Amino acid sequence: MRSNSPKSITLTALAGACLLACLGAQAATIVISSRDAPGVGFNDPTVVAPVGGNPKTTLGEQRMFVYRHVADLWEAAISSPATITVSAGWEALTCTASSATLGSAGAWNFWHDFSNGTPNRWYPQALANKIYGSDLSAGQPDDGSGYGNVDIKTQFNINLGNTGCLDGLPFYLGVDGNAGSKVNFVTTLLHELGHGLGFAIGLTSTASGRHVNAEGSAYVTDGGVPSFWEDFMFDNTVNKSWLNMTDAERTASAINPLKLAWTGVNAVAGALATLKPTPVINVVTTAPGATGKYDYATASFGAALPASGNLGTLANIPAASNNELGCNAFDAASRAAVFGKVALISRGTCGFVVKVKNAQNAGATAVLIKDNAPGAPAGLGGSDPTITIPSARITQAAGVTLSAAVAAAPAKVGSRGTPGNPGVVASLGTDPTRIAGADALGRPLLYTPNPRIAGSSVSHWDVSATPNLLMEPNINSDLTKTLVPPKDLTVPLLKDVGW
Amino acid sequence: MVDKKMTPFPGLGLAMAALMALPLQVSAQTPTEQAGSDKLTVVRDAETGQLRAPTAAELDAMQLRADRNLSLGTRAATQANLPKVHGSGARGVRVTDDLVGYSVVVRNADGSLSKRCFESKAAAEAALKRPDFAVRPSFSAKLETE
Repeated sequence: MRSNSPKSITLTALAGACLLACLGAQAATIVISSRDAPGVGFNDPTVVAPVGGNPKTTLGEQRMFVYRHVADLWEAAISSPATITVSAGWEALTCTASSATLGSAGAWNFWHDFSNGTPNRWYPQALANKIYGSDLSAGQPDDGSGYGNVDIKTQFNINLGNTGCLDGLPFYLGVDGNAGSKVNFVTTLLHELGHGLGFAIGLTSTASGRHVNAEGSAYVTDGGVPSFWEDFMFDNTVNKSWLNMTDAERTASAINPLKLAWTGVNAVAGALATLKPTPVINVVTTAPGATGKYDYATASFGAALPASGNLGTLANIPAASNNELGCNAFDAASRAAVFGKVALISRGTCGFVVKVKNAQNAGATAVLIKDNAPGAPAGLGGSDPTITIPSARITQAAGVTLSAAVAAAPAKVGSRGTPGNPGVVASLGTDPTRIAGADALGRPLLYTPNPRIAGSSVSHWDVSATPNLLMEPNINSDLTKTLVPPKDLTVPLLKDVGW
Repeated sequence: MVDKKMTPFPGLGLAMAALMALPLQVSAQTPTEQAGSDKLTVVRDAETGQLRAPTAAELDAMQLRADRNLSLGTRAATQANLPKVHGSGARGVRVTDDLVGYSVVVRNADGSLSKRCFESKAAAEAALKRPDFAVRPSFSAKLETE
C-alpha cells in the first residue's frame, strides 16, 4: 500500500471510501449495567488520584469511567436502532504473582432466522437486534440472574496488581494510552467488547467444526446452523468457504496457518489500506540460484530485527566441528567461521536459545535458524535475557539454498591477481508484492495456528498482520483506540457481517 | 455508581452463584480439581501419574468429546444454555461462560507483559500454565522453543 503502483493507488481509494463509510454518521447506544455489590468493583470507594484523562477520584468511579469511555468509542463506530446492553462486574479471577486472567467478555445471547438477517445463521444478539430492528429478547423471561437477556456479559479481575495477582501491576485506568508497564484497560476492554459485538465466530466449534442445532441445545454432526461468520471465511488450500465444508474440513481449516482468509469487501479494502508489505530477508550472492527474497519469522528473545538495513554476511558452522546444530560451545574453527557474521544453524536437538547463545558467545552478530521441516516459518520461542543478538527462523528450503550458497561462494578477501568474494550477503526489507497478514489476493488472514491454540484460534486476525491490529489474539502494547483503516480493521469486519 | 447509561441489575446473588459454578470440560479419563470458585481442567500425566494442566491438544480432544455429547443444555447443571423462541419465530439461546472470551496476562522474565485473548476460560487458564506463554507481543501463543 505504500508503493506507488496504480494498483496500490486504486486500492487506497477504495479503502478511503470504506473509511468514510465506516466513520459516517454512526449512532448506537450502549448501556452498561453493574452487577457489583455495594463497596466493591464499580462501587469501590477507595480514593485515588485522577490519572491519564480519567478525572474520577474513587477506584470504582475510575473503572466505570473507562467502561463508559470505551463504550463511547464503540457507539461512535457502529450504529443500531436497538440499545446494546452490557452486564459488567469485577470479580476475583485466577491469579498468580506473575500472571492473571484479566477478564472476560462475550455475546451472551444468540439468534437465528429473524427478519432481515441471513437465514440459517447464528448471530450474536447485539448484531441480530441491529438487523432485526429491535431487541429480540424483549419480553423474554429472565433466567434468574438479572442479566439473562443482555447482549454482552463482561467481568474483569478485581484483584489485579494486588499481592499474589500480578503483583504491583494493576489496570491502568487512564484513557490517554500512557499505560507504561501497567495493563492498559482501555485496549483490553475495547478488544473484548469487540468480541461481544460480533468479532468472533460464535457458536461454531473450531475444535470439531460442528454447528449448534437450531434449538440451541446441542452440537450436531455435519448439520446445524452455521455461524454468521462462515459466509466470509475462505480456505485457500481447499478453495472452499466454511459454509461449504464438512465438520472435518472446518476442523482442518482452523489449523491451516496463513490459509484462512476473510472475504468481506469492507475488510479486504481496509486491509489494502492498512496492512504493510511482508518483511523479507534480501540475499545477494554470486552463487547461482540463491539471490532473492526469503521469508522469516522473528524470535521472542534477543534484539529485535530492524525493518530494514544490512543484516550481514552469512556463515555456516563447519561440518568438521560435529556441532552443526549449534547445541554445544563453538570450537575454534566454528568461532572463526561465524565471528562477525550471521550464523546459519539448523533446528533440532536443543532449544533455539541454546543455539543463539552459543553463536553469540562465538561472536556471531545474528543467527538464522534453518527449519528442519517443510512449511512457512514460525517464530522462535524461548527466553534468555542474556541474549542480545537478533535471530530469526527461515524455511527448510531456504536453509538448504543459503547454506549451499555459502559453501559455493564463501566470503573471502581478494588479493593481487585473485578476486575476492563478498560471500552471501543478507539485508532486511519488504516484498511489495505481498501484504503481511493477507493472502495473495489481499484478503486479511484469520488466526489459524497449528497446533491449534485452544480458544484463541479463528476469531482473531492473524499475528502476521503489520501493523498490529486490535483484534489479534495478542493485545499488543502499541495499539491505539482507532478501529478503522488505515490503522485497524475491526470496524470493516463488523461492517461485513452486518453492522 | 451512577452512569448516564447505566442501570442497576437485581439478582446479584444469583449471578454470583452462577459464576461460582462455571461449566467444566472433563472426560472420563480426566480427574478434576476445584480451587476456590474456579474449577480448573487437569489431566493425569500418563507417564508420571501426576495431575497437570492439559496441553492444547488435550484441550482440543476434550472439546471434541464434549461436542459429541453436547449437551449445550447439560454441560453444567448449574449454568445451562437457555433456548429462546421469539414471537416472530426466530430462535435464540442464552449461552454460558464457556463461550465468552478471556484475556490473560503474564509477566515475562524481562519484566514486560504478554497479553492474549482466548475464547474460553479453560483455554485461558491452561495457557497461563504453559511455560511458553511468556513471549514478546506479536507472537503466537504456542511458539516452538526448539
